[in-house]
Amino acid sequence: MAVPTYTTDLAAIDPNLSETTTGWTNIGTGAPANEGDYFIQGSFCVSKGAWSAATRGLNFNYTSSLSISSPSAVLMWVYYACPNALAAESAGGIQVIIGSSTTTNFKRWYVRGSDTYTYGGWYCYAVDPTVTADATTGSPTTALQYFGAQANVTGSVAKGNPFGVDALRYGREFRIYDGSTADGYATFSGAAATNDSTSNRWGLCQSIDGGYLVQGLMVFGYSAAVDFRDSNTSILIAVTKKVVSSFNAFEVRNASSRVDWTNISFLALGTTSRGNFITTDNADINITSCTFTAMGTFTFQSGATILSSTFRRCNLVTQGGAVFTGSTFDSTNDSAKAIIVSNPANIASCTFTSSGTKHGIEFTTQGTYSWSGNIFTGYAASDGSTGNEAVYNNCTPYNTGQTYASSNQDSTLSLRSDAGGTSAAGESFAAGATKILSTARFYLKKSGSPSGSATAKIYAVTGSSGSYTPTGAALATSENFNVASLGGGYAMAKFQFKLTNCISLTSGTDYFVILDVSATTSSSGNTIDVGYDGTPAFATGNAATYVSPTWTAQTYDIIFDCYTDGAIILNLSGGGTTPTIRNAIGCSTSISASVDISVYVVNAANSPLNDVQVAIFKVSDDSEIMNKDTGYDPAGDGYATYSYNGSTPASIYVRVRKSTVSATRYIPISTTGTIKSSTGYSATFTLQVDPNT
Amino acid sequence: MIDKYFKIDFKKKIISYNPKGATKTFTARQLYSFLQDTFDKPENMKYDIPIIAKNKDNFELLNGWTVDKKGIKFLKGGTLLDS
Repeated sequence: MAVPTYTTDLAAIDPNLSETTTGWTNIGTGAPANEGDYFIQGSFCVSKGAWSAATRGLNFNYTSSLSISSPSAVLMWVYYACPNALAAESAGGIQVIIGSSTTTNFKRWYVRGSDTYTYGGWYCYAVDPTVTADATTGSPTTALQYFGAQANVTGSVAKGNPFGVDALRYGREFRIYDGSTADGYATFSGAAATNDSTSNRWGLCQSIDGGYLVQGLMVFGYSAAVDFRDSNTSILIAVTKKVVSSFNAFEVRNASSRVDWTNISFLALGTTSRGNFITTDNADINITSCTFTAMGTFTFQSGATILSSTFRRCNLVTQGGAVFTGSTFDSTNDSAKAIIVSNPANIASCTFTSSGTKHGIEFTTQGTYSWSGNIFTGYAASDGSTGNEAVYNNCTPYNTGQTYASSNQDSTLSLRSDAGGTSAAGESFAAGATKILSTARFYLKKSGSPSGSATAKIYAVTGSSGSYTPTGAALATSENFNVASLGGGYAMAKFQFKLTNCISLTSGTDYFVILDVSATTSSSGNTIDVGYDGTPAFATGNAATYVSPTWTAQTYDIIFDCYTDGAIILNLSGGGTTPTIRNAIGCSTSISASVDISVYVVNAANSPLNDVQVAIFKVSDDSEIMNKDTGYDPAGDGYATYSYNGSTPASIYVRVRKSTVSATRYIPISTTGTIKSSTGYSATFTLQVDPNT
Repeated sequence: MIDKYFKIDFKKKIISYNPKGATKTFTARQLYSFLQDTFDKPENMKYDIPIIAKNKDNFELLNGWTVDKKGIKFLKGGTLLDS
């Protein structure tokens, strides 16, 4: 590459850039002056003599209607020497005017006033003509031919020419390309040096105390790749009230570009156009220890690495596969979530702080991902659908050919677990595509007061098409569903498949999805009612019912959904907090933790005890996690350990027993605990000799 | 030895005296020790302990466990309260 190049798309509205008064007209009395005593660009501006208690200004005739494509804008430098004499901004202290005739038909945008132009000076105002004006003089047409500014002076001003306008342009892009190790990197200071040259004064990247004031679109890699590297500075994004939201932005183009920002603070001063970050081409982007405050949206791609950086009160961040490590998302300004994530494995050791009502992360792509060290603060304490859960699984699940709509329901099948009852029922279907199972739904209500847990299961089929029944062991079993939570009216009830139960369904293969209530407490009058269609219409399946020990094919169709493509499995490691979850319809999210379980058993003298039977079971389904003697692990005497890979947090019950004929017997211990994603489970138990045996 | 005389139905939570024609008796304490020895086997760890000792002579069944009438008949010495 070559030395950095800084250029712009700004085009002159006044071809003389106010070096002459040609084309300029006074609004009010007197003629425009060719002002060489003060100016911002070139050697002159156009000024106007003092006036009191009136609105006066200057207008330039472009001679034809100008086409300006939003989000581009008119950029115009305006100066007024007596800020205290102006009306407030809301009363049009300083106004940018654009219209269709010189002094009679134009729109007025109020850009500053005595309250917001406190210290005076030159300001480069950006006005997008598509933005609704604050006021109108006459009846301007849509033609954009006259451009200028005026001031509403409420005080008395008598001396000299206090009002000046300079460098009238339109556009918005600051274009940067080239730069290299040998030729020097492109930098903000290089950009500002070009911008601030008196021959330019583009008003796009202005050097200020402590950093740079920017507005418009800064393009990194325009027409050619850029090597832009800068650090240890501050970027202020200008208050631009009269533009569209996308006006201020940083855009990276050209896949060969490299953009490194280190320890740079970005702060948006306004709210109309906060400043977006856009990755158009998958360039090498490295953002380290930067802080982005109150900015707009961020879109990254996989070539970006964001380390130890903070996004505070910004709009939505789109990961795009980028790596985020050790970064902070604090109080997002987005309406729903701080970041939308396509590759959760690349989000590690990040901290998410809720603004009170929004998700930290929204997932969009099903899969199994590592998940390390992420911390969530202030989010909903439990899974649900409040909108403030830490993560939101909003994948787009698939159920083509795997659904029979609830609108078809005309009949009720009552399931119950007592002897002789129908304890399971389901529907066969042909998988529409080869995808991972995530969720099943049935159209359910309850009668009476059934209690306990039901599950959905997937089976292979046997028999002939149209009279299939389930066969073999269940291929997958859902999480437990509390039937007591059913209502008295029909609704689709969701059964989530997690971890190893997220099996792959093969396209075109027939399966049965069934509802099993055999583990519930239910009986005649206290049933789980399944909606079905008594007139068989589901083309690729049939129902079946189970009365122990036999499945029987039925000629009706059960209302159901069997979703795939919505399963997210997060394998937690490296500490962090277990996120609370919201699942969209058809989605399931599993948290799997590879954490250590360690139980240490000692006697009353605090000496390790071996050959103590230690067992740990999950409360949710009584499944065994660990069941072994102490003293046979590398951890040493008294220890029973295990590496746990299941869902967390997991509520457990623990039993510690040692009682043997002709040996010392001990009083058994039974207790409960929780396997946590960050710390697993660790406990020490002291067994007391049982004096009563 | 007591394991030859008492049978445990883990599902129904019943401890019963098993052999026909047997007349051997056991103390409540012996039953207590037998149950402790049985419930620390790996396959029985999922079950709650059915008995607790008040002292060497007084014991109480827990968690819905019972000893059948025949079993009670062959327990001599000590006190065993129902759960």
